[in-house]
Amino acid sequence: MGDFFRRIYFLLHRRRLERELENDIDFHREMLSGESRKDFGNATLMRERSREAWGWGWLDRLAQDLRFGLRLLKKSPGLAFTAIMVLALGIGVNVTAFNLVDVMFFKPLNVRDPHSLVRFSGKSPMSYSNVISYPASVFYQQSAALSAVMAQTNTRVTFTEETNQEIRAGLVTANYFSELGGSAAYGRYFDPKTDDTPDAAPVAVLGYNFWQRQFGGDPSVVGRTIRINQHPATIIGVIPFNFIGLDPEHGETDEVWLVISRFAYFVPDTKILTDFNDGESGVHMSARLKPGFTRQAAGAALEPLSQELVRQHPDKLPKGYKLVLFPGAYAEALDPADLSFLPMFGLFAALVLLILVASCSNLGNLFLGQAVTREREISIRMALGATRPRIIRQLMTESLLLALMGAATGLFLSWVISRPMVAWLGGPGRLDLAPDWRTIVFAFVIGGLASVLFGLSPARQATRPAHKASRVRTIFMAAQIAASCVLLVVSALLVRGLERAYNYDPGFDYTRIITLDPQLYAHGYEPAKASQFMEEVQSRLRQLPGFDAAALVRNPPLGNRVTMQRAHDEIKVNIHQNEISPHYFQTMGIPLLRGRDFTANDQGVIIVSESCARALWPGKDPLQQTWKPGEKKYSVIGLAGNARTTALRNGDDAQVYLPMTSANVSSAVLLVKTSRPPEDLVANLGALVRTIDPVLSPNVQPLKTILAEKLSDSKKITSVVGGMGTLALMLAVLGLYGVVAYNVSQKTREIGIRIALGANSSQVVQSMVANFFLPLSIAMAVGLVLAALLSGILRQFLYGLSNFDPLSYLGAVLLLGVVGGLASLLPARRALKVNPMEALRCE
Amino acid sequence: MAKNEMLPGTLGMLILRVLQPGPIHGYAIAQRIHALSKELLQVEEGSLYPALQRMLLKGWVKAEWGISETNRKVRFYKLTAEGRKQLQTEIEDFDRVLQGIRSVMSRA
Repeated sequence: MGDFFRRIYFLLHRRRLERELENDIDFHREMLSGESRKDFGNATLMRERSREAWGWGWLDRLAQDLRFGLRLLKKSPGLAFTAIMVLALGIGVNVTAFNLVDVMFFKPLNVRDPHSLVRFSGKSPMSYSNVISYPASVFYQQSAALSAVMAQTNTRVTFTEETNQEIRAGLVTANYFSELGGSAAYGRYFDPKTDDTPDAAPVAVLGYNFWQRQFGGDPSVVGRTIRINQHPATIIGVIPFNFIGLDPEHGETDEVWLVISRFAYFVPDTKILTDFNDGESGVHMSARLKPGFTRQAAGAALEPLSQELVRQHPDKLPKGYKLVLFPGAYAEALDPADLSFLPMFGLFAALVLLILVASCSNLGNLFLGQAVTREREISIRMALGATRPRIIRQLMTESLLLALMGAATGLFLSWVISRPMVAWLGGPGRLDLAPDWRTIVFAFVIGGLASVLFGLSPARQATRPAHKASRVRTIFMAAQIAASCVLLVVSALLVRGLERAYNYDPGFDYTRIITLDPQLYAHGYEPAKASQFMEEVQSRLRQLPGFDAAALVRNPPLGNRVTMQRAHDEIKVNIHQNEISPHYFQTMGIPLLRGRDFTANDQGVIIVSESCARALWPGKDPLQQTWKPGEKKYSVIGLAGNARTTALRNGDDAQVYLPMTSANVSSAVLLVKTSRPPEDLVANLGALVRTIDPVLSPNVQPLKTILAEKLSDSKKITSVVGGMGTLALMLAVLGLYGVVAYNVSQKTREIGIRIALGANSSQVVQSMVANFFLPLSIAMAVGLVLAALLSGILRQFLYGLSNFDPLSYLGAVLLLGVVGGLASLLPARRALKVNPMEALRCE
Repeated sequence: MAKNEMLPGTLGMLILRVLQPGPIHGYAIAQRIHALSKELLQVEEGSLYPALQRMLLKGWVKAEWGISETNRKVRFYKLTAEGRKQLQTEIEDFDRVLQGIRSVMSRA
């Protein structure tokens, strides 16, 4: 039996061993009394010391302290409740933030054997894409490193039952569901053996929401035949409510699921299945690693296959193309190579930590006050022989007790608020947000840290004979002011940035433009057929009342598709390229400053934006220049005004417009300018497209709507930060009020003397707050500097607003100054009510 | 050093030594040390029992119930094999230290 186990044995048999020891000592005393010796000493102390030898003294003391702490909390439930709630807020904000990060990046999705799953991106020296072409993913199935290669993508299809309805379809490999485990809510999932063959009967699995909406949740739909893109398919199953698969977003929103290899049955001309170019269509590819393969080893084993793929399809895949592997079963792939999100993360971590600091400082002051009222109790204990460390330990145990209760409450609050918050932020609604062990550990570690933060200095103060609490008090107060100052400045910056974004002129008239994406490519339109189609649409559009102008564009404004090129080696400018048809400028309302618009048959010519001309040929006449990005040469025929068509957040884009190449028409988007409110025309445009080809499911949206959607992210972030700022401000106000009120109550005598000696009211009030003025001004200055440092990271949410925007800083200082001033003057005025006679008489 | 106090660190060795002949109870341990030292050494109860607890924990001694000479139930402490080994090393260590002290005292 080792020392350790013996120790445990002693702990477990403590009661009996204690009795035996007591018996030994009693016996000893009996024998001594026979010797007529009386000075046996303190038997209790001796027993205690002997027990100490077992090494469990700390546990006894902890239990004592906990019992005592609980008794104290029961005695003042109001204080306990306040403390726990303040802590729960501070800890809860941190736990919520941590939990979201945890759920996104570290908590495996609810699928079978999540750790062997990997997902892939395609990468070459020139390009990076998180999708792989479907035929390439099929090609990789032969790898010795992978088993169960899966593909997932989504598209829009037309669902016909009485009327046509456009729905979202998830296209997955037949092994997708069976690999991820679980079973269908009703019916069955795809069977890779029977549903994947070219002559297999076409089958569909229904998404849960769609099943509820369209079929009223009727389980007997299994076996029924539905029409998708006018082609019959049999419903074989329904997805369970909480299914998310490998894609939390589409797992929830996809309305019908089809086997991807059979997609040509629904869209006969589809290129998804055959085109090796991942630019137009691609799938999210996942696979399982075969046993014995690490991600690195699998990546290496896949490289020869990639080389072979490039050799076979040199025109579709760039040189040096290879796969990059990520852990597969997480909501978001954490790419160690792309850590650009880190500063933003850091900023948010800093902001939530500031809330914690603010709440801990608030509590710290509360406990300093407590320490004073317990002065008597503590001095009695010390007089009775308790050592200072022993008392500090006891006070810290009380703090820890509160902190752990606060952490538990915070954890609970965070759990309650997580789902509505994620829903409001537009995140995937079915993700399992329950805190896992990581979050729980985090909550209690933060709680422990918090207890040191708010408990240690009050405990040290309480045991010190001469109190100098006022300095600690000021430091706690200053921390709150600084923290809320930072949060308020950041909130103000975000609000101002948003305001700017709403009022900003992007350089084109987005209020009257509708984008119409007929998704011709996905429906297998060849370029010639696509051109014909676009002609047809435009000629019909012209008859529509309210029609103003229309044009084709490759990368629609405010869209996600961007083509970029580095201008020259010596000029570090990113040039945005776009292909447009004639009348683009007229449609967009971008002024054509010089030169001419494209005509139908222009080739080898470009129109450049002002900022592009300035970047490429500063001080020269752009109309006489040629542009040579690679092999080809283009002469400039026109100069257009600047327009922020790609990113609202950046400065002016350097834009090169090329004439629309006929090969790209099938992936072009139609822009329509109307003289009427664009919302009125959305339905008309969709119907118009369908009358030409009923199979199509066009995506029609006013630019106004897209813009609002783009801004909604920023709006939500602003509200979150604003909420945190308000919270910090509230804490600071409470803290300030408490500190000044305490100061007044402590200085009643001094006030009495002042009044008796003839001080007027403003002098009395001044004397109460004067001590705080300097430290709090310093705290505010520190907060401002901190805010200035941190807010640099925020630039992308500021829409061109400088992060040193003086108005934001001034606003925050003013708000804090006014609110803080009120919070300190109100209790300070109480000093005026002091009756000098009574004040002097007391004590 | 007062006459009935002990050299620090030697109490354990003395306890182990008086336990060597056979199991005895706590009071007898104190008595025997007192007697064997020709009444020079006095073991305080305040150090005896903590020391015994430490030895129990280390596994050098074991406690067993027995009946005292006054016909009372009390624990008898008994040396274990490990305790014997410990006693041996402590005696050797003590001898070495004593020797060291002697040589310093005689030369300097």
